[in-house]
Formats: sequence, structure tokens, C-alpha cells
Amino acid sequence: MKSLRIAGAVLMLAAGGGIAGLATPRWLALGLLAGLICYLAMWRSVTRALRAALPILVFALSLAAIQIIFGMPVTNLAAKAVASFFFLTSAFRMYPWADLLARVSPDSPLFPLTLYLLFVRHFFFILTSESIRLLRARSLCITKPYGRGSFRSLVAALGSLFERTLLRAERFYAAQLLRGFAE
Amino acid sequence: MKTVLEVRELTFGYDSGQRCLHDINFSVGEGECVGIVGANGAGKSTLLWCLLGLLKAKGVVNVFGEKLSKRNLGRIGVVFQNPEDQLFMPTLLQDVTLPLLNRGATADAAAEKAQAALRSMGLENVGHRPASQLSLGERKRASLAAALAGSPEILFLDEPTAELDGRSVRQLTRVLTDLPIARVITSHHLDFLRSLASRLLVLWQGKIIAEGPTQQILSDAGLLESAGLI
Repeated sequence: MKSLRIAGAVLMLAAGGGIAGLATPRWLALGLLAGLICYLAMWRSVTRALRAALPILVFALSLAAIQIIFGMPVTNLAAKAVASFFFLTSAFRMYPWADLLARVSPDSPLFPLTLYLLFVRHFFFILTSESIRLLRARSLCITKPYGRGSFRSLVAALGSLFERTLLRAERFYAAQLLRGFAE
Repeated sequence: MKTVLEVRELTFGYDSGQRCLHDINFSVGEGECVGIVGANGAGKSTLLWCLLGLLKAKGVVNVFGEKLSKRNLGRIGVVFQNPEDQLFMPTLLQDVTLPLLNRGATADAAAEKAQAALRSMGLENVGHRPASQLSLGERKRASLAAALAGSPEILFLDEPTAELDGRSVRQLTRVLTDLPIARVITSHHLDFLRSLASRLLVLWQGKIIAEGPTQQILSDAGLLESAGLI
């Protein structure tokens, strides 16, 4: 069972990285769909899964909208970002990371990569926990989920989310720097 | 007493032109415990970040007689306000061990030191659990263990009592009192510093407005009121 999970996680990591190389819209759409299926399968609640993905979806939509509105060449970067997010978060949710870390020796060339993945996982944890906290706070403030003022409050919440995650990421980086990870 | 930290004419401002710290001067001796007190927004955390070289400030910050660099970073321990910024590994033991391995210790020596650090904080029974499953008080002590495992000669603590209950504050005070190394603590928890710090610096709007023995500073109600501390 564990081997299957390892294989699945490695496959998803490879898919997350490989999606960047896809150029044709058909393959990209397929990749996006496969990523979404994997992502939803990793969560018990679809609503929670979609809530956690909200920041990346807003980012991707904003990126596409900016490209369209300002007459820039419309790239498929937004779709690739979302698909990578789906695959990578699924890999992080699937794999027993404690086991991986215990198996990789500090002298191994794989150790920096394992650490990097742990950093990324921790950052996803920060992003997810901040998103859930902010959306919960917003839902307590508004009277109706849709309607007057709700869009504005969502935009304000997301703006605040980016600021807070940036701050948390900066603090995390500083703490690891002081623990000797830049040496 | 040998000086381990010396700060001269430290000034810091953000790119927007907003000045946060003005002409900060102080020093910390070997084994001394110095508290930096100030109201919210006084610049305590900014000062700490400048001392640690995380923010580039004007002025002089000397640690052990020389500028802070990667060479002497290993002699410093830091405990951040939010333990989640420091602890991210699958188990607490790995969190404490990792910086030691990263600094070249052997796996056995690192594990031994990490176990000793956890034991000194009363956390030997939770070493196999991730930090996210511990209470905030335990997480604070865990980040202290992670900082102390590297045998630092000076320890910086940013708001160590923030959000802690009375018992956790007492536990933390006991642990910190017994430490023989120099400690720089930013806080606005005056009772905590009363029992711990030998000297206090009072920060107000980015300036040190008073400095002196803890009892003397804490008995000056006018000063504490003007600094927004009471």
C-alpha cells in the first residue's frame, strides 16, 4: 500500500512538473481535468477542497483577465499554474513525508530536495490555513454570500490573504535563514 | 563583563520614508538578560530583525565583537513570536535535529543534543509528534529547545509570552531564568520581565526613552504610562 502511495505521489509530482511543458490546448485541458480529479479525490469535502484552491483560481483568472483586457498575448500560463497546483498539492497530501525524511540520509543528494519539498508543503499549509481563516471571518461578516457588498468583501479578503501569506512566508524564510539553511 | 552584543547609532526606515528606529544605542554583556519593552508598534520586533540582520539598518551591530555574518550566526539562537515560523518538520525531534545536521553535526551527536534540549524543556515524551499537534505553550518551549540545541551564546526572543496562559508563562520563565547565556527579550509583559531581566530598555516610537535596572524602570509609573505600557 505504501509503495503504491509513493508511486502515486512521485507520478503526481512528475505530472505537476511536466504540465509546464504541455503546449497544445487539448493536452492541457486533459491535464487540468486529471489534476482536478486527483485533487478532489484527496479531500473528504469538495467544498473545502474548492475553498482551499480559491486563491490559485483567483490568481489564474486575474492573470487571464489582465492578458485579455490589456490586449496582451493570451498564454496558457494560468491553466498550467492551476493544473500544477492540483497535482502538487495532491502529491503532498498523499505521501507519508515523515517516512521519506527518515529514509533520506542528510548526506544524500536527495536531502536538499526533500527539504525543499517540506518547505513547499509548509507553505501550502500556511496558504491553506490562512485562506480558510479569512473566508470563515468573511462569512461571519456578510449577511448573504452573494449580493451587494459580498464581491467587495471577497476582494478585500483575498487582498488581505496575499499580504498575510507574504508576511508569513517572509517570517518563515527569516526563521530558516537563522537556523542555518543559507550556510 | 565581556560585551556580546553592541548596538551603536542604529537607525531604520522603510522605503516609504517612514522612520521606525532612531539612533538606538545599547550593549549586552555575557550572561546578562536584557528586556526591550514597548507598546504595540513601538518598534520592538523591527529592532530585533535589525539586530539579526534580517532588515538592513544604518549603524553598527556587533555580535561577539564583529559584524553579524554567517560565521557567527551559529552562536546565536532565535525564538520567533509564532512557533509555526520555525517548526515545520514531521516530528519535533527532527525539527530540533535538523539545524544541527545542517551545521555539520553527525546524526548521533545531533540526535543526542536534540534529546537533551527536549528533555530540558520537559518535552522528551512528545518528540515523535509534529509541532502542529502540540499546545501553544509546548510549541513555544519546542522552538526554544530548537534554538538551544545549537548551544548558542546569545538568545533573542520575540514576544515569548504572547498568547500564553499563566502556567505556560511560569514554565517559560523558569526555563529562561536558569539559562547561563545572554538573553535579549522583547515583550510588553512586565511581570514576566520583572522576574527575568536585570535591565530594561524602554522603546517608544522607535526611540529608547529610558534604560536602567528592571526594578527602577518598573517602579516609575509615569515613564510606563508615557511609553503606553500601563
